[in-house]
Amino acid sequence: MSTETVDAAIVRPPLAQLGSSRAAILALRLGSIIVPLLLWELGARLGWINTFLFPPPSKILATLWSQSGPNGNPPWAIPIHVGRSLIRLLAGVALAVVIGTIAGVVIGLNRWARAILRPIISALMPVPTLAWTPVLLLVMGIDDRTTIFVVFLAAVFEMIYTIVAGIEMMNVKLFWVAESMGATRLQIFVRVIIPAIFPYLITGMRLGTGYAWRALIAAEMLAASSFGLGFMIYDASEYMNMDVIYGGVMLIAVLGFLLENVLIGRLESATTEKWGVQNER
Amino acid sequence: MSADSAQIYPLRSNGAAKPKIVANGIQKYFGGVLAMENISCTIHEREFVAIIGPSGCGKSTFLYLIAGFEKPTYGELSINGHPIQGPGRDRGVVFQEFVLFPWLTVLRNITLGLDIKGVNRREAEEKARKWIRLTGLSGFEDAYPSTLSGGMKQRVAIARALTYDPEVLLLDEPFGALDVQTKNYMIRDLQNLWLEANRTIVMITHSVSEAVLMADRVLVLSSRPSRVIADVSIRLPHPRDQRDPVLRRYEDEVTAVLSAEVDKAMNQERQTHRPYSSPGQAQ
Amino acid sequence: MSQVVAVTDPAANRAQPDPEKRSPRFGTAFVAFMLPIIGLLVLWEIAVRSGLADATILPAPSMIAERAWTLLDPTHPGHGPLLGHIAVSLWRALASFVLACLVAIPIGFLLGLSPTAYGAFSPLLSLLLPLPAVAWTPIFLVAFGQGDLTIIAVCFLGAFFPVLYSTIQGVRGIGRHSLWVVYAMGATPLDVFHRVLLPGALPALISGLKLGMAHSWRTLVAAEMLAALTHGLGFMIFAARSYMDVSTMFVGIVCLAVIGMLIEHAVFGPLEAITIRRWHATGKVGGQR
Repeated sequence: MSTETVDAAIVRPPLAQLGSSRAAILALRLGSIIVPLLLWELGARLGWINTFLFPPPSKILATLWSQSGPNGNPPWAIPIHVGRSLIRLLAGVALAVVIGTIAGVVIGLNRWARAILRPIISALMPVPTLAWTPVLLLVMGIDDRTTIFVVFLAAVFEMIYTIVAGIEMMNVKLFWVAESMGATRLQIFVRVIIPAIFPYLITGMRLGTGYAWRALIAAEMLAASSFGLGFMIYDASEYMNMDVIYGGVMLIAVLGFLLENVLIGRLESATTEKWGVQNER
Repeated sequence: MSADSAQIYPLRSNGAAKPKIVANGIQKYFGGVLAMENISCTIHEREFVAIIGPSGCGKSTFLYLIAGFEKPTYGELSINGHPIQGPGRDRGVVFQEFVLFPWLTVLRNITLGLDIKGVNRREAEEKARKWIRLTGLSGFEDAYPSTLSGGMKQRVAIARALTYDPEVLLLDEPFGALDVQTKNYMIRDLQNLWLEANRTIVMITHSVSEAVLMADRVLVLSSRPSRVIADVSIRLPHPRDQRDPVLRRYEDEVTAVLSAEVDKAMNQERQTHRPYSSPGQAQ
Repeated sequence: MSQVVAVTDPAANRAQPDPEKRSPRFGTAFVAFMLPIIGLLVLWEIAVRSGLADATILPAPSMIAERAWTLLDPTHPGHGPLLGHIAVSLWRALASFVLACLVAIPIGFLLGLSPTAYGAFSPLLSLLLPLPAVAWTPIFLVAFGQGDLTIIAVCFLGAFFPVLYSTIQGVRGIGRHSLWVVYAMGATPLDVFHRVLLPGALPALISGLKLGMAHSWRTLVAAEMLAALTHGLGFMIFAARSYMDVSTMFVGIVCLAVIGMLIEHAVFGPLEAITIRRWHATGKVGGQR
């Protein structure tokens, strides 16, 4: 790709002319999400839209609100569903980060490990994570364990892949510098390899979390017994409860966005951007 | 540190000095191609030797052989009488592309060699201060490499290579990645640094003016497969003036030898009809 | 004052042969790839036969192969359903993917070229991009019930956003200078499109297609498990659960793996080779799943 990545704009973007205070930009971005919602609301109230299939946002938000409190069905339903999903995600991703990093480093550094494990991982990676769910259901039953394991599977392959790629792309001269200073293998590992792959670890986490969230929602639809956002919207479809479905989808979208961009974005700027390391999305 | 206020240093290495690095009949194959055919030379203690040659002749490779990052296919290479078996603390390297650790500050990059040796922090920082001063990095200790310009980065790389006191300093086209103005400034600025360092230095360069300005001896390599075709001793005191007619004559002589080789290398490229590897690779 | 000394005698050629010269062996890559996999299969088989692994949870490769054979056999009652399942899954994946491309690529170009439009829609896009496409399934289930339509709709959305996003990035990533060069040669908008925009955006576009296909395929499996009535690999795997039929489940998993690999290498591999790899060296980080 061209090194001068600038907007393909022949015209200066008009947004830049509005004065680029951060608040203004934030307001504009929120606006572009709120405006469609307002149009939707308008359309529903004016009867242009089928309000059964597309309940107005006000109704959706009202339902979400009422379900979040003690009068919900079950009480505190939304927070419980959200919390359950997030806990499962956290557990699975944490596991994937630990195991994925170790595996990635071993494969990246050890020629035999790479020769043996790489083909196996390449063969397993294209299997859609959900395909393992029925087997896992038989083994672990309908349980948190199944969903957490699915999350783990979804994230771990990405972690391993990213870290191995990171090690392969490392400048060999970084090693040479350390070797010419008489560093032992352990010193090289701690002082060179670990800091050098750290940005890739973060990227792997970001990509892995993205896949993990997708896998989690799907797994919850298939395999959760009573709680979780995926379960919530699937259950609601059996009762044709559109408010809850849309509300759930919105929550899933917002949470997915926050997880991938905000949470890890902060982590990235604190480390890799300070070091001046660029990572691809 | 400017040239005007510098002392006039006497000549170094009067030829009776001990041999430090000895190369004998070095041959090196690189990816199926014979890069170096027969390299033999002796580098003496505290000599500043510049190695120059056309692109692709293997001069950087020769440096990596001395450093121990690569092994010669045939031939012997020794330091202090012992064969070179791998990289070590006795030979420090400065790369063309700096290779600083982006996760360490300037200070920690410079003390890296001492940190690895196990020297305690305070002592390491003390030792580093001297070289920080001499390379003109005072005030930049807490900056991260990504915020520095090319010239500053190379100063950090040089200070890093000197701080842990290796016997030999190996410079791989140290000014190659810098623009001309920065390069000229650095060369003038660091002239006394090499004398202060007072150790064996081997520098790879493709610039004749650089070589005659800085080195006691210039070795000219032929085009690939390379041999040493000229060994010019430059017996002039430091600091040297670019406009000095004596220096100019040295420069002309070396240039004449080198140009003939560059022509040969160009013809080689035309004939083989294969794109040349980039200067960083088959050298 | 010449102290130039010619050092080595140019006439003496003492070059010795290259010790590392090897004649190239074809197919070594393939063997190196298959060997560990075959090794794993052998170990797996031994583990199950010796009782180390529970065959009701982890059937041996031989049992999986046998079941696959049964499922393929057209004379068997059920008339060899496996091919039918594969065919239905592929058709759904393909249909939704093609549809998604037809819609997403033009919109992607428009949004990439117009900074205003991009500014207006990009927050919405960034919000919808990380959204799992399966999350749309309940809505479609209510609207259309179970069946092909729901599944294709969900997979369409699964492929749509990645392709759209990649197309936009590809177009926006074209440097101003590339456009200036062509303008300085008096190019018309059509010229600009097919000489600069299309080739310039192509690498990102192909990456996006690969990603979109991968998303679509993964979403398909999930959607089939939730919304398929009779056919599809996802359906087959999920339905086998009621019979505790692990062998069939694993047959399904193996099919998914093989098809996934084929799509990635046989379809996108050559596509990438003639475009991306020939033009650029990409050091892309992140798995293309």
